[in-house]
Amino acid sequence: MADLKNIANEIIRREIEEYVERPDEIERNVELFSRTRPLMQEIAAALIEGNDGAVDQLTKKALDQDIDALEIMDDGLIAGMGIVGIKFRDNFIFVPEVLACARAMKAGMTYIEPILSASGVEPLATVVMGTVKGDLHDIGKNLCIMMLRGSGFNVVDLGVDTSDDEFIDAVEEHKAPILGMSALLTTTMPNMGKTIEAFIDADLREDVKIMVGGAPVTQEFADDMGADAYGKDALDCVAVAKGFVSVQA
Amino acid sequence: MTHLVDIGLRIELVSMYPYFHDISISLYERQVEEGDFEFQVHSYAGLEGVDKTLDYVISAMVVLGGMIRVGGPEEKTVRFCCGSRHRKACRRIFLEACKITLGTDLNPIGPSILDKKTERNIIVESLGNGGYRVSADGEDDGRDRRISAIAGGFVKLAEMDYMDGSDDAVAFDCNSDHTPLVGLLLKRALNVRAVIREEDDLAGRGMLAAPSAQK
Amino acid sequence: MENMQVQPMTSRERVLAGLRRQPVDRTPVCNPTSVATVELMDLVDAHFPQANRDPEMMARLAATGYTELGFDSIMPVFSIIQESSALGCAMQWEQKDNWPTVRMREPIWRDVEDIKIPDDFLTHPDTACVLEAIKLLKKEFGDEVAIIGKTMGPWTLGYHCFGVEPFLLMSLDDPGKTKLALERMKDATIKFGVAQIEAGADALTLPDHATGDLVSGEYYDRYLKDMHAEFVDLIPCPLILHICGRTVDRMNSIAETGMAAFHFDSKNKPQESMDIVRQRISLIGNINNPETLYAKEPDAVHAEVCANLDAGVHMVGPECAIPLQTSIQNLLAIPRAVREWHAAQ
Repeated sequence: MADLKNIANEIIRREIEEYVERPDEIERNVELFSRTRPLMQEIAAALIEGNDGAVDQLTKKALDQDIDALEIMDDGLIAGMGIVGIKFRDNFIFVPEVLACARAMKAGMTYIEPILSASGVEPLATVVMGTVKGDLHDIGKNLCIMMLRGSGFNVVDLGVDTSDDEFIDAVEEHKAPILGMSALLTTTMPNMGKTIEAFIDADLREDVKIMVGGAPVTQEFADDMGADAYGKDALDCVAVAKGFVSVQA
Repeated sequence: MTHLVDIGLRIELVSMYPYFHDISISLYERQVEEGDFEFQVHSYAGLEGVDKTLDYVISAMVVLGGMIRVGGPEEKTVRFCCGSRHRKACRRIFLEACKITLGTDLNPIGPSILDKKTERNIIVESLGNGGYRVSADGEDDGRDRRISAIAGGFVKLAEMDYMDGSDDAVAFDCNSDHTPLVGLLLKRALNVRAVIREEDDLAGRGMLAAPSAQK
Repeated sequence: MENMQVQPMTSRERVLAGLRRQPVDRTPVCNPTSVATVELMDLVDAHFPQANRDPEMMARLAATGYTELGFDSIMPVFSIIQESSALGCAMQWEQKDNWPTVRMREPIWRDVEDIKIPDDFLTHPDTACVLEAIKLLKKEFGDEVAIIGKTMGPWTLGYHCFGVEPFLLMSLDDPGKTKLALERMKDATIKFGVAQIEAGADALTLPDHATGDLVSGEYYDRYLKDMHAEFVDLIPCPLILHICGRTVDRMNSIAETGMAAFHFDSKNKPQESMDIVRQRISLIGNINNPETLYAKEPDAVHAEVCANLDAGVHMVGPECAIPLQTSIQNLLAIPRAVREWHAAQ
């Protein structure tokens, strides 16, 4: 089993020691950071601290050193967001901090994305995300999107108040295998079921895995509405999406 | 202004019925003296024409779900021929009845359908005493799994039970036939995700491919 | 705090006593937030969205909480948008079975300098509607039932007017600027609150959504605790603070503000909450909305009422504005459960 001492970066060591409590997550993160190069750990540490300026500079520096863009994304940005997700789930940090970390991730991805697109590297999968019709709340959806992007997914964000047709059009246009719907209100939650029925009527239901989430949503509602899965929080949303990808692989 | 009623347990609500002034319509369940269950359709809206609207919804429940109207015209009450509760199924019948444009001719839905997922014709055959067998045409490959998933869909949607250890035959626990209901539910039975998820899990899964692992 | 020596009280007396933690004849059933439903809208022919904008419809629908459901209060401000609308936010009015909402993705302010409470803030149709509805209710019901108004706190106005994410990022990037923004926005809270008291409100709900689902307890101390204490001095009526979500980590601070009551969410256990506040503030709540009131049967509602009463919660009611599809039976179960609990003591 890998040792914390093998992790070069002090901030990363401290983050794992103080904030990662589940044994499997400790093991996974120690193993990950033990094998990544120090500059990647610096990027991850800067991202965890929400320092977008530092992430910007360090990403440029890494690229100047001819480090592969994919390695920077996986071992620097995504690795950092992994710790952020755990801290958020376990209530060590809250939404403002996550927003700052997502801003830092975006700063790094500004350089990385064009390189990866040009070299044809595919994301894990494309996920279409939207808040359902009649609902203008998006903070939960946006946190999920940050975590999904932070885990290597390409996300098409349809915003709020999204109609059945808009969901269907986006899934078709982007050939997205995954759709995520969010609702904050019990009044709008049934629109998830209506959208799913719209996919059935359009003969598209088999082409997409549908996950749902939001404050009033439960596993039972998700099953009743005909969703494939329910995500209880942003980290769960990522786990669900990864589960869909592993089934399709 | 109308007044509050005490007519049973509200088990379903259509909050805006689109074909008549967006009135709310509710479905209530109650148990009568003999132990049988009845279902009443009700609206708090006091507009003229509400009565006729509710009558239409009830007619749709009768035709689509094979239910029986009981009591006088004021009572807006239906029941299953068997008198059983079948709450989940009744809620579905009510919701489907409220989707039909007011005044449209009503016809029951037969228990067969083209399954677009697998390009097969699915037929649900009555075995008598409330039992139904799901069958499908086409090639063997995956057929049995699909039939099993659809039968599982009926189990979830109508609280039916599998018959005698089979995975293609299901039955109502009241031992009575409800063929119109089966026809109504068939389209949804093709898509019960919880069952499909279980079937997919059983079929096994592949390995996650992270971007850095891609060739 | 039922006291067998207390003479039978009117609903209004009961609620006011509950807000002061004084003896009551039975635990008040109180709704600091909306108990409107689509069925009640049909019952009295007062539908959303118009019932949010027409004072007579607003009053007529709100009154059903008392006349039909048996609650001890009437709270006519169903949604949380009146102030933001009057400040100039873009609104989405929706339809009968949905809530009007502020288009927070179209913020009206970017910086502190942009904050302005317009001169017509209290005469804007949406704020004026509330004031008129309160007057109508006071005229109809006199001192029979508690009329509770509502004025949004500055944190929530920040979400509405700056946008949720920009506001939360500002709170992290620039605490000084955030405090200044809150200082400026609080004028809207005070103005609208005082106007409702003058219209006849007996108490005010003050929603300020620094919820544990979004921000830390330390944030409450840093940004809001002192301001909420200030509201107690500046708004001359009992104030009911409402914050959704997990709040046990900030309840001690809330209890120190001097507010009359805290309307708490079902994510917080009644006994645990009572143990933290220790009679320094009244608790109102905390019947779960999305699972219990929306989806379960009256027995489940009954059980939650009893859990609150067993813990000594001062007033019982739904945890937040109820889902519009909630059954009337589930709502009737609340006062019934309170009466049965007391009868069994």
